[in-house]
Amino acid sequence: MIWDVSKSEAVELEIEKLLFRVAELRGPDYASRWYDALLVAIDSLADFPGPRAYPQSIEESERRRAEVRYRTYHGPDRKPAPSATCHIFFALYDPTQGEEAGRVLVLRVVGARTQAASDVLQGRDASNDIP
Amino acid sequence: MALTIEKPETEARLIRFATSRGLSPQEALDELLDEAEENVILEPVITKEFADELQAMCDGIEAGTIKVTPWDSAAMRKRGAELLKREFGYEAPSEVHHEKSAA
Repeated sequence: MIWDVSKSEAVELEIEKLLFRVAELRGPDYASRWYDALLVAIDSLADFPGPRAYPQSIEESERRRAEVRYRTYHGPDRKPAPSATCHIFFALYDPTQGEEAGRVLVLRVVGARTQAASDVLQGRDASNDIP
Repeated sequence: MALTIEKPETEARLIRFATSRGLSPQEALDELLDEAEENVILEPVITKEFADELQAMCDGIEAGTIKVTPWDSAAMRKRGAELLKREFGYEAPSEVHHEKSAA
């Protein structure tokens, strides 16, 4: 079964911000590979969205017979890179549950550790704040 | 690559951190990065607040106030390459080769 993949308007900007931060942290060559593999990971949602449900209840999506799931992307290399890890959150509209077609809607792409590591590098970490 | 720390207090913290461990500032920075990469920084995505955000997005999509567009990885790939070129002067080897061939 092939799923139709779409994205929210926030996703494009989020991914570009992450790309910029990864390039700052690890250099543009790594960032280029990181980015290409991230796009492949999102492309692959069309083949198999994956079984990992977001552990918090999303009432509205349940009413629409959709489920919020996520996939963790660990970077382009075999060894996971936590500072380049991000989570791809998506809503799954399952045709077997009454939807007209199988749809995957990418809601957010969040790389909190990338953000935090970038902040540490730039002296913006919270531990720097004067109480 | 030369690294400049703009905030004097951050530079002072780094030097204190390095001195206390008998490291150079560069080694101290590496150690800090290692710590950041070893899950010292908690992942704040599985929280009630973030679930509320996702909930609001689902509501917005339902109401049509949040725009949804088809996923187009070819267009995204092009935008990413443009960003890396613009901000970092970087061109992937295959792109450089492609441009030379086209010329």
